[in-house]
Amino acid sequence: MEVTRNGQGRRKIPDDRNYREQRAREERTRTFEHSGTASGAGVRNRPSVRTEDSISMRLWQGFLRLVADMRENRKNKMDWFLLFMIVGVLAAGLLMLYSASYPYAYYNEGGDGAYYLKRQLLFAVLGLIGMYATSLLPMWFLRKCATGLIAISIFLLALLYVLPKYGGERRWINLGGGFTFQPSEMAKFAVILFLAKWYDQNRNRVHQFGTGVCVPAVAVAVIGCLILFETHLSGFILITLIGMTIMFIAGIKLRWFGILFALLAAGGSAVLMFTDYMKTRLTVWLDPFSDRLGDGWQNIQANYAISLGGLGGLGFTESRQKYLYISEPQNDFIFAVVCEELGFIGATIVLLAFVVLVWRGLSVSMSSTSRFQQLLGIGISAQIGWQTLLNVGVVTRALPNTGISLPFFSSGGTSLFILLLSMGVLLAVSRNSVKKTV
Amino acid sequence: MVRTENRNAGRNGGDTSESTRDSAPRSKYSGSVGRSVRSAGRTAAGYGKPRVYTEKQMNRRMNVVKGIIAAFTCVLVFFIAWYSIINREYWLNLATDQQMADVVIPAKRGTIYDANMEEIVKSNTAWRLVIRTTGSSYDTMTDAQKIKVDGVLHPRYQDAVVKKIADVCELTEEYINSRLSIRGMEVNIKGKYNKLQKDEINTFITELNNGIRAENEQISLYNASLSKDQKETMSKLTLPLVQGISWSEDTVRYYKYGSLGSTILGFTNDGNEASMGLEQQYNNELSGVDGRSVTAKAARNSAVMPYEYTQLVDPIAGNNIVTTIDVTVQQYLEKYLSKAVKDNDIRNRACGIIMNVNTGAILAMATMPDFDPSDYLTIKDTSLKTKTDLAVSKEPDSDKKNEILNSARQSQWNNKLITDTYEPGSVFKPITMASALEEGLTNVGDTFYCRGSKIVAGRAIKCHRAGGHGSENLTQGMMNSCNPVFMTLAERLGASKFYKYFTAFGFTEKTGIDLPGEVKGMWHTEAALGSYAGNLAVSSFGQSFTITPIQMATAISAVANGGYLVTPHLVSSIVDGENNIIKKIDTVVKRQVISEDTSKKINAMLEETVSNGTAKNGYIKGYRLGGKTGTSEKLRKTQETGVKEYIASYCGVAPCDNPEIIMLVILDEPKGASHAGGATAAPVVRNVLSEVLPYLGVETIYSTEDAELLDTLAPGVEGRTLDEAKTTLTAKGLKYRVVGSGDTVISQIPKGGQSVPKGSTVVICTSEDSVPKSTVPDLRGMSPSAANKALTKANLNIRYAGSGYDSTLGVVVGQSIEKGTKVEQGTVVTVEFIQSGSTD
Repeated sequence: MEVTRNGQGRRKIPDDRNYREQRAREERTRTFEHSGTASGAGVRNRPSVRTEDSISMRLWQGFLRLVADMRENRKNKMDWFLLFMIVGVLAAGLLMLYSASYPYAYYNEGGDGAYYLKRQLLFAVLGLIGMYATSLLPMWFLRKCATGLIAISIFLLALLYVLPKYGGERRWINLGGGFTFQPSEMAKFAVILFLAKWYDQNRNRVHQFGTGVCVPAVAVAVIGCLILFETHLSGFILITLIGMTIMFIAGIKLRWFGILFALLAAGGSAVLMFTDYMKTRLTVWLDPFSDRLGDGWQNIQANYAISLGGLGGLGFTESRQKYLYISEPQNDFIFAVVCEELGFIGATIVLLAFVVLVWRGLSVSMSSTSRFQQLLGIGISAQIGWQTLLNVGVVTRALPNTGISLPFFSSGGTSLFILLLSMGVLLAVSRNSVKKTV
Repeated sequence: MVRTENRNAGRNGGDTSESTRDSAPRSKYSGSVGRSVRSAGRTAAGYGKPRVYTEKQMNRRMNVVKGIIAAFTCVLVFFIAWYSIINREYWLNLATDQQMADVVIPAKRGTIYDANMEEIVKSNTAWRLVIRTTGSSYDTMTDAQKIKVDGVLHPRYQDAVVKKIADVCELTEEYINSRLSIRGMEVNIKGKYNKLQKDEINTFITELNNGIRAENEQISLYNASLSKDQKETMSKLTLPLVQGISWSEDTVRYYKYGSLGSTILGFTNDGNEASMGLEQQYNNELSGVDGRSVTAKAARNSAVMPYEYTQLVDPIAGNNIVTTIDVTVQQYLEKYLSKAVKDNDIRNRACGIIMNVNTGAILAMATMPDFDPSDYLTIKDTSLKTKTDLAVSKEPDSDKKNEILNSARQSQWNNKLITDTYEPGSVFKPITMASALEEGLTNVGDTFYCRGSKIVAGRAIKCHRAGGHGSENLTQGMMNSCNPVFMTLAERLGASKFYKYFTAFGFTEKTGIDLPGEVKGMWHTEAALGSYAGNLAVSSFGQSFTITPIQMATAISAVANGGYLVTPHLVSSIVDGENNIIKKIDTVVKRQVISEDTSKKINAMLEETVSNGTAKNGYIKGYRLGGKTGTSEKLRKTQETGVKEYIASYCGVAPCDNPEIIMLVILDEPKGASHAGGATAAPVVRNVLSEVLPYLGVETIYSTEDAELLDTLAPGVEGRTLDEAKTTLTAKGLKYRVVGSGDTVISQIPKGGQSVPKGSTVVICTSEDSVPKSTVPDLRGMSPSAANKALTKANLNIRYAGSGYDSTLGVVVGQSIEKGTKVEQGTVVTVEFIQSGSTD
């Protein structure tokens, strides 16, 4: 039993990796591996899990166990610094969203400048509650969810091809009342969860081609392609990057990793070379003035915004480019408004805040107690990291425009909600990781 | 065991500084990982057995990922810095250009005053009309959306508004509609409009909007009366207001005297840029500095930034210029010059100048026909317009059409005095004379003999009088304008001295007058004059070389003013808005060309020429005037067309005892009864000076002869006895004729207090009846005595006017009362004479 910084003993919740053994042990001993605690949490009676029980009974019992474990898990401290970073970045994001979206909302939503803020705020509150809830989830539960979640994701992604288009794109499921749901957001989490579980289960066969490379690559490819063919390039890129990161960390052979990387690079450049759509995108990227009023517009306006900001920025809410120059300042190009209002210094701080958040997420995950938790946390952290870097890359024209949003900042209720839920999972991982002394 | 290792690894992984250091050599590092994995596998379990992927290896890979993220972040920070710091200027300029609505506030252009601070040209505020049109998406909007369209002219009202604007602004509806067809723009309507026009249109729109508001109230009341169910289907939309019409302030030139002095002043175009004349010459002084109003604007035109961001740079008004022009003198000059153009059928415009001989200040300067500076594109001269229109209609090519039109416009804008060159002819003779006198090669008592021609270099060069002038002295040579006399003088001067004076009088240089576009003529070089005596001989009386009229006027000024060549100028000072003098333009004396003595001699000769010589038509009673006529053949044009074309000119000096002003008039290609300078140009000078000299307050001194012809005031004798009346009239030097048989004078013609020439007959009526009437006879073409006889016969009085009425050479050219008119007996008819047969 290890002793944490606050001197309390860790609450031991049956872990995923040895879950089967533990269950067997539990079967035998009918007791739980609870350590005696200073806080005095006593040993509880748990409903027994019997194989001969009916399915509904088992589900009920599982649920009770989940609730009990979640209550128990409250006593394990989550990583306060990670939480602080999440809430801090979220707060900054909400403030910036309010400023950036005000004129756009004013002119497009009937004079209600706070339209986007209100929506975002609602989902932020819901998301924070959800985050706390998910931060209590025991790992065994998440493990159990993995397969189901990826199946649901595939189903919903496939459903998009059947449903009518929304907003001219095949990306959203219209929930009615102005709310939409983007299955690719869920798919990202599902892929992370699946890969974490897969590599954990096969942690001794990770060097093999079949288990280490083939199955995960196929899983990522199926989800990725479903997203790609709904012409959601940014979603595809993101899910590929997350997948690659997990595979790399999980320990697949570098040779295979290299081959996969080369394949993707070859495919990508082939698409670039042979499709006119991509060619024009590339031309506009390199010289946005070649299509000043068309595809180049957003890039030019974003670059103008950054230049206007200068070193110190025009001041919070003082952006000029948000006055209908930047096409959707509340969305993909919100970082341009950040640059304009907060300047180079402010924008760098925001960017570094993201990096610190990711860094902390990665570190906390690495010091976690199981491979499953490690990979789960790394995947979630990587998602935020890559998404942030790609978004800022697009805004600064370091990368071609792919239409990727900035986590915590960009407007989008359901996506923020799902993001916060996954943050909860990251916090859940942190509850089981070994705290560092600060 | 694993857990302990894991814990350690976690600590290491979490340590930022360490991981960054570790991750630096990435490629090398990842390679070693691969190797270590393999070797670890081999040593631990050999092939076929599970290999261990240790936490340590995982940690290393994590460091690689962290390294990539760190590197990527650095790149992005660099990119942000690129736009916000390193290359900021470039992007910032583009950004501000896009965001700033930069409105120019035109500076008020300075006023041009005449010599008496009378405003000739000034700038008034005017407005340009700007209409904002609906966006290109308008046609695809729904009705409800259309109502919401803000700040633009709604097509619903377009017809009414366009009709009103066309009406007020004097534009065609087609033009305005074609402008409004440009969608989603701020459209400028051409022209500048005054306050009245602006107010009229604004009032019209306000009234329209009041009507619409009243209608909207009705609609709201109606909508409010509907039940909830009805509302969905039956409620009406309120109407939009008339919007999107705005005015931007500008200035427009206002010409108080219309086209007066237009060829001097020049004009400004629609964009307030100056062309021609003083406007162009003094543009830097007049124009001032435009102000700017920079305001932030949003991407969508209708949307205005909610915060204030306005920077105002006030315009700086231009300075005013005070000219030497006297509006009154200018009016006289233009009046008689345009009359001369009409009377003599001038084909190539006429020009005239009145200049102060001592200072070079120009009192008046005109070229006729001229143009209207507020409508400078329209060709004012009807004959030129007809000719141009015909040429344009014949020309199929549109470029060439414009070319023809532009050259016609340019020709009406030109100030002939400085942009045209001509052969001065006999007006040049005083120059030759002055040179010879100055060099002591002749004197006033010198005698010459004219046989009607002089043989120079084996060729006989004719005098204008075929029979010759016979024996004559120097003054008579000038009076007769005898060519052989001047050829002789030139011969004595020789090429080098002739050329020396030619240069000294400023014929080889620009005068430096403060107007743009001054040209120089073509003349014989000293060598050319020397190598062929014919050149020198012909040059002596002003033929075979060309100069500008302003050069001629300046040279004659030098002859008259005691020998000083001055720079002619139009502006005396530049003043600011409060009339504080900023810059004073003083007289510039270039050099003294001849002595004062020589100058006096020439002035005396010129006075003789007017009094008794060829320039009699320049004579005005009571003034000591000098003058010289000139008629030159346009040799080059004659060669080209085969038709003889002439330039008639006259240069007068007043007063001759102490010259103050000179006046030069040039009539290019007169096609009337005469083409001689004495007959055509001299009367213009006489008519102008007879009004200008009294206006300028030049003292009159009458000779005894003239004094006889002076007017006197008719005494009022009505109500007096006949005897009293007779005595009074006789005492005044007037004759009388009694009508009726009464004793008391009941009425008289001319009435008491009227001005009548001495020796006139006053008709006094003693009966109740009014004074009998008689018919005015046709006097045209009569000699002075015949005219007198004819009028006396009709019981009318004559007043002599013009010149030549004191000799048998006088011919009537005009009468103040038209022939056939019935007037009361005793009425004074002013008869204008001209000296016929006057030659140079």
